[in-house]
Amino acid sequence: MSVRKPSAAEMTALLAFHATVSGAFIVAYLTGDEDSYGMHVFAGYAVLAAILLRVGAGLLVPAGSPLRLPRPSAGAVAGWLRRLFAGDAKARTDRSPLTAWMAAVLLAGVGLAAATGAVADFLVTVEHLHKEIGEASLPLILAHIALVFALHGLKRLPPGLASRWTAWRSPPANRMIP
Amino acid sequence: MDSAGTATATTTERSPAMLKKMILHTLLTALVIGALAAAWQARADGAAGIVAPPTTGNGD
Repeated sequence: MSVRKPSAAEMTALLAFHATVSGAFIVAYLTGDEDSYGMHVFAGYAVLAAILLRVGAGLLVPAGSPLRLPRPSAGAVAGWLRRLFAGDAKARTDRSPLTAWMAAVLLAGVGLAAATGAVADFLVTVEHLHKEIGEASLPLILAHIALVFALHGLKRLPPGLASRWTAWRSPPANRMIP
Repeated sequence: MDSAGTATATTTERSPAMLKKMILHTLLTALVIGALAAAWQARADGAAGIVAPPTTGNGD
């Protein structure tokens, strides 16, 4: 299903969500030790509240809304990769289906870290699990940042590079370097 | 978001200006939430200090 472009209000909501989750996650991650436990709890609940609001909105909005939750598809990624490696210039500028996977993994990973943190606030036995999931969330976020910059870089590649890549991949008999 | 990732996206437009805006928003929000969280902790510590004042360590 195609998704329309976000309105100004939807874009603001999406930006506010991103800013709240990322900003609060930074604070929660940096204040995980005992001295700043109060700050850690405050920031952790801010992450949890933002994710719950986002999931709630994602479930309630009608189909086609940009606020819908991510729907990752392996087929879409395979198709996009095929187009990309075939030298299709539009594949580089179109939105990559990899972002749906990244968004879903991030929502699940950071959401789980925040949810186990809230449980650990009352049930100390969950503390260790929360710590492990929290530590595992950092590589997810770093991967997200790397993906954003990689996709951004892909758009900025000179157009001639894609056709040279296609030529390089073709059999030597048919090879034609532009 | 659909399979192409359109929505969650939060990052629907990936122009350099949008990327800069998102990074700036993240850092600003981190500062605001950090300040609020510090105030929250100070308030909690203050309340704890009133309930159980810190000992001076010299037996007083």
